[in-house]
Amino acid sequence: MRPAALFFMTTALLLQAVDARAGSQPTPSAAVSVSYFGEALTHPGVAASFDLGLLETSALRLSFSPEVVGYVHPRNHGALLVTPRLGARLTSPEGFFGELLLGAGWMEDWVDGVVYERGDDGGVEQVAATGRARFVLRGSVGLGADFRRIDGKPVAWFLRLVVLGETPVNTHWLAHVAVQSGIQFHFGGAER
Amino acid sequence: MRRLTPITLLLALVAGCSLYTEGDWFYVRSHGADMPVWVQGDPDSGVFVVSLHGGPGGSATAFGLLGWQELESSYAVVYWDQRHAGNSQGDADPDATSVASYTEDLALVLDVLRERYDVQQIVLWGTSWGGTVGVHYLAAGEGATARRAGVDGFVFEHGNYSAPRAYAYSRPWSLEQSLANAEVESEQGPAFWLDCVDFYERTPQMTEAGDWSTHYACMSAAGGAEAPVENDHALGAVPAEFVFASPASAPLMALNQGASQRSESFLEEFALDDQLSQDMAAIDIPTLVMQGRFDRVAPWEVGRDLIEAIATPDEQKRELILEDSAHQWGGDDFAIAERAVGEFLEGVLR
Repeated sequence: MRPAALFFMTTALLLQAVDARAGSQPTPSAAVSVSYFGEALTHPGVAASFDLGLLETSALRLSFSPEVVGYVHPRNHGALLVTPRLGARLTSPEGFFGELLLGAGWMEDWVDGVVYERGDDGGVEQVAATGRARFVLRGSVGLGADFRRIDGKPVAWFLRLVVLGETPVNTHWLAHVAVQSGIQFHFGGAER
Repeated sequence: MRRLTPITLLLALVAGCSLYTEGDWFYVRSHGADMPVWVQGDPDSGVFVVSLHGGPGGSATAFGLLGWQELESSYAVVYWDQRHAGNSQGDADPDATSVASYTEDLALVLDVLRERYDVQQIVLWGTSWGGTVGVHYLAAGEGATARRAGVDGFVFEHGNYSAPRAYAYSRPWSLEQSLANAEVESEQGPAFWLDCVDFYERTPQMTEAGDWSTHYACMSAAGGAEAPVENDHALGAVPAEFVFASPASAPLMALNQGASQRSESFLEEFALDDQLSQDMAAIDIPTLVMQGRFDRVAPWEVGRDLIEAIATPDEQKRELILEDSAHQWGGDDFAIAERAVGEFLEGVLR
């Protein structure tokens, strides 16, 4: 089974299960987040996501959160990613949490530089550095603090280690890592 | 004064890194491959030394982070990463690659240089597998005469052009080492060395693509690539900025390492085709051959055969044996080689 099909089937099943239980749970919160996304730590990028709570208890929060990421590795490549993710976060009574996010989606990357190719007349010509579409899998583990538990503010801080796998790159999978840190703003949901 | 946070330091490191700004950096696109070209040194000199890296699957742009700094003070030095090698991107298929693909790509690189700069002279510098690329470009197939006319000099360093020939020179030493190692305690154990002995005894000539891989495993385990004298040009202590603030991508380079050699069709051509041994006689431009005395990957005899076979007049060809080197640099040979190339260029270009 193709990885994309497996991911979306798993997502659908999880959403269905959560939907069946939702009636007995407090209303989950929603959130938006913005973050620094450092591919290989230092190649700068920005990420923004919308985070929809699917299930939320005092300790566990399951979420669905599509995210858009853009980053640049100077002279090497730039990239844009759009990835729906499923997340699970365990929060302590003190407000500190650990989390796991898994996602899959689309990645467009392009070389960061002027591009030349052979022209029809046999000479060379400068062409646009058009991107290439890739399928991307991503997973991340993170930690952070939910300030709703600490001082009542609807804000959380997180730090994540992200692993990306994209294909095809020279007909193979290319894995790389990133570090992500940002702020999440919660709204709605029951009082925690 | 405000305290510097780690984030601030990181951003300062990235923003201030000269590797993102020095020299010219562009890409050539060919048959699905986006290959980086880094031009360092002095393009105004009009002299362009084009590095053809080893492998297949090595990287010239990564080497360019250190580079031939003495040469860069006088000439433009061009670091080009070949298809599915080094920091090359795109989606080039190794199964659709032949040795001729590299000649086609190199022709494009040279034409782009001529388009971008006032190129007066071009010298090709082939290292290891890059020697094969250089010999093929200069001597093989249709159009070789015209291609040769656009090149003013050729440096063949730790080079090869024929795996069958390299195997013929390397096999006796590798067999002897395997026999000796089977009698003593070693990291690999006696079974490994007995397998090597068996391979060499039943393989006087390579007949299958996988023979080269088997030979390479035995020969390199016996130390056939390692210089006997400590290297003065160790790449081991890579500065942090090369990892965190350079155009290089370590994951991409790791993926591309040996990509061509994972292709059965390419490996068959690489390991078994000896046509360049005949074709090389057509080379008639100034040529410098530099081979390591202890090199069993590309034995020095391979270079001797090249220098004797080519049509270049005697006064325009030179052979230098690197006495402390194997396939790796040893002793002061890196500096010695750079000086020799400088002298060769002075002689060629005057």
